[in-house]
Amino acid sequence: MDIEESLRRALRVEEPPPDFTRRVMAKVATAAQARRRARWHLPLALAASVVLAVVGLGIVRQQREAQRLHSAQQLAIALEITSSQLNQVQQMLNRKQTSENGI
Amino acid sequence: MSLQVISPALADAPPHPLPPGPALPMPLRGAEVAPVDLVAARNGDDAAFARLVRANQTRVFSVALRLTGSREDAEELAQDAFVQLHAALAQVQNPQHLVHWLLRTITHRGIDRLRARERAPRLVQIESGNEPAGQDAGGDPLWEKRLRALLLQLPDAPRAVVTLRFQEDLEPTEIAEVLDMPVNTVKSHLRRSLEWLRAQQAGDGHGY
Repeated sequence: MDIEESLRRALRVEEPPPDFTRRVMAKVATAAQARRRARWHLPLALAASVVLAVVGLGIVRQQREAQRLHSAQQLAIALEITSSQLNQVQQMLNRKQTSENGI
Repeated sequence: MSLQVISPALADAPPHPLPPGPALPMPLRGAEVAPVDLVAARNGDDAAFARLVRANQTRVFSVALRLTGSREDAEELAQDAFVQLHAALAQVQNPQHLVHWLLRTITHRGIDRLRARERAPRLVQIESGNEPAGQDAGGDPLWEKRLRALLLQLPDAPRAVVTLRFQEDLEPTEIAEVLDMPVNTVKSHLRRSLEWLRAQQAGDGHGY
């Protein structure tokens, strides 16, 4: 017999197992469920990212504001101390000058 | 029966692209899907999709079986092809396109499985080559059994070409479209495969 005819006979189609369709439909249902879940995953992840970014930005801003206030307070205290010390020096100089003029 | 190691024939060949892109529908024989079922399945009718599966499961399973030589692998590949089809129903234009899509998918998946197997050789059970060669092959079940075993010794591309030609009765132009391969390459694979099989039939056991 011709090799091509032999191949046609040898390669006749074969039936899959009897429950093939049922198994396919079960896999299809599982995959469809996973796709539905995955459809929500991306928007949820995006929304969570946006919320996290906004909250994070707020916290950073709050921290910077607190730091700015703290720095301003420190500066005010420093200026107050400096001013007080300068006053003391000024008073000392004044006293010294008065006593010298008195002699 | 004997155990043989599948040889790493085309281990460095690039994998086939998946999923198959939109292709021109071909006038494939045996497209037995009712257009109404295709439309219904696209609209989420599971019973209609089950009818699509039943109408095509034999050809899809058989192609996978010829490519892998294993009923277990063939069943898994065929099931996965239908699951992939379910997710891609919107792209399927008509019943002919559906058959073309399935053949493309199962062939590429089968070839990918073979290449993965070549990268990690394992023992697979195939029919032995102990039957006497050179005999008159007229409708001989033993020779047909040996032919199926010989088919599994062909490299993946010629194996797919021979399967689509002699199981699915596709023309070389149709095979070229299914396999994304030039028609001349398909013809060359066919010619070389047939020459090699004839040589095996004549008892000349040289490699492919």
